[in-house]
Amino acid sequence: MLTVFETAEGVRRGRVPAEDVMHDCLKRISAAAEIRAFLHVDAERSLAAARRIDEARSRGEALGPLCGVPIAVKDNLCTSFAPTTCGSAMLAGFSSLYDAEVVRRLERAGAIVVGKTNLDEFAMGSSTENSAFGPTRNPWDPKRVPGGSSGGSAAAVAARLVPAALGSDTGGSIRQPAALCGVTGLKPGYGRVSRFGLVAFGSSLDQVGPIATDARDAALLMNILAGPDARDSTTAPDAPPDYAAAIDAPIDGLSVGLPHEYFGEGLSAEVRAAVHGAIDVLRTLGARTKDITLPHTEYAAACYYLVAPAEASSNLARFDGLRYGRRAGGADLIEVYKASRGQGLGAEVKRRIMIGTHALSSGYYDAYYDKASRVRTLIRGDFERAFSEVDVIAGPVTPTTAFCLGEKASDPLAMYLSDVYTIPANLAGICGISVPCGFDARGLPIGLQLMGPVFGEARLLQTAHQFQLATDYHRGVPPAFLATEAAA
Amino acid sequence: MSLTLEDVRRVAHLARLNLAEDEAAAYVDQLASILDYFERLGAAPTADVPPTVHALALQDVLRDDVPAAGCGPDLALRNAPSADQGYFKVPKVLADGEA
Repeated sequence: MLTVFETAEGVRRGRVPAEDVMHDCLKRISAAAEIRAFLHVDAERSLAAARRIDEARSRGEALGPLCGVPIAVKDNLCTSFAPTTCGSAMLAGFSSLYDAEVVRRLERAGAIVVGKTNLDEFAMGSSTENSAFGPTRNPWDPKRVPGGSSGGSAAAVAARLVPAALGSDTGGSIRQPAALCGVTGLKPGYGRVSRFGLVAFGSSLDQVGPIATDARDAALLMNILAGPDARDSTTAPDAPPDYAAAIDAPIDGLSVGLPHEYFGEGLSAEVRAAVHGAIDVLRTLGARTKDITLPHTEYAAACYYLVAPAEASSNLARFDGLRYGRRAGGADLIEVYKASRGQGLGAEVKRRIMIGTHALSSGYYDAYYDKASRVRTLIRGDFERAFSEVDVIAGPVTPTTAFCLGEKASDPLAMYLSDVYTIPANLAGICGISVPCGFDARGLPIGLQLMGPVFGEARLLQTAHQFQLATDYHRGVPPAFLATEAAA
Repeated sequence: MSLTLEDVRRVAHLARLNLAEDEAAAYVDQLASILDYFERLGAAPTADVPPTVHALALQDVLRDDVPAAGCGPDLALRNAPSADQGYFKVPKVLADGEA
């Protein structure tokens, strides 16, 4: 499969028709149906869009920077031309009236949204097992989860079904599945990318970002995705940098912080060894490392699992069965609400709504939500201090490689703690990237996490790209998909 | 922290969620262990620390008030579970005689 960069170049120069690119893409997607990366694929619309690009080219018209590139989009991003389900029975059959801003930007740049990818219901989960439409399988081992909640997007890119995909990251939902699937995933700083048309989960935490096979492709996508949007008043007003141009500079002299809290108890030996190996590579590229401390890390998971459910309990109040979504019968209005939500929402979503409702309820607000909001300030302060000393922070993305389906399904707290290294970036609003950095003894991928200050995405992409110039981990293709990859 | 079936039912009602018997019973232990985990926050030194409600310090974002086309009633009702004559149709809100 061609990368984003190669596809757009090939189409623009007439080396390969966009229609052929799309045909191959659709063939790979249908051959890989058993991993259930996609909830919906629109072959007809995608081929028509590809033909329009080929026609535009034959007329000599200017083509967008992503012309002809098939892109998969997580199904919590609204599309007017395809269903938007959020992986929930509540929204089965829902048809959005508008497109998410990121979808508009991609298609304006010539990319083609080929389909919608599977996710944990309303992006709540770390394994994609919480989808009402069945779990996605990890392309490296179908008995294992792809991570979550953007598991469909990460699996689709890992299996080389599409060159890139969009995910959303509220507590690690781009970086964790990227790590478990061996692909590159960026969570931009809060406010860098528009959330207009992203179905809200935790509004002070949610951010949309790219998942690709390498950092260069992620940078190309960020050039299109980033920047202010009048319809999302939380987007930063300043113009973003040219990410694709920033990645070529060497990282000689880069200062990399190593937080000892990210290398403590709970980190598996294999992940630890691979991350240390990756840090050695950064050193050979001229980076200087420094031991740092993020002293409030131990509170991050508890803080997050109060703040995010509190915001979710409010955001998901809109799913009441009146104007859209599933409606169940009931004697009066309250009973209709309760029955519609009781039937339409899955176990994890209900669990989080109840945690959030409890944390915000009279008598508990101070002890839970208010306390967590103050702890959040301490966690932000940790990063502010760290970034006054270092350019980027390096550590693991996940404590372990991909776990088996069902392994953590009955223990919600254990599942929550698998996000322990990714949660702090969302609480602080900073950016983070997951970069493939090795494989365990079973051949499962391992991710290196790099974190940067609020709008430090260019530095992260540059560091990741320089690392990928020196390593081959990102080129690894799951064995079951090598043949489809070669045929394309 | 101990949690009773009654507590779970009360929160589910506040959250407007019907729970089946076995569902509610399962949540008792799960929510209790999660609430127990939150207890560790008590040790965090937050006496003089202000809360963070938002990661970015953006304020007063203004834009021009420019009229734009709306979606119109047909489109707005596209996903309605029940609609009638251009309106969303919902169960009776007030009991007889309450209005």
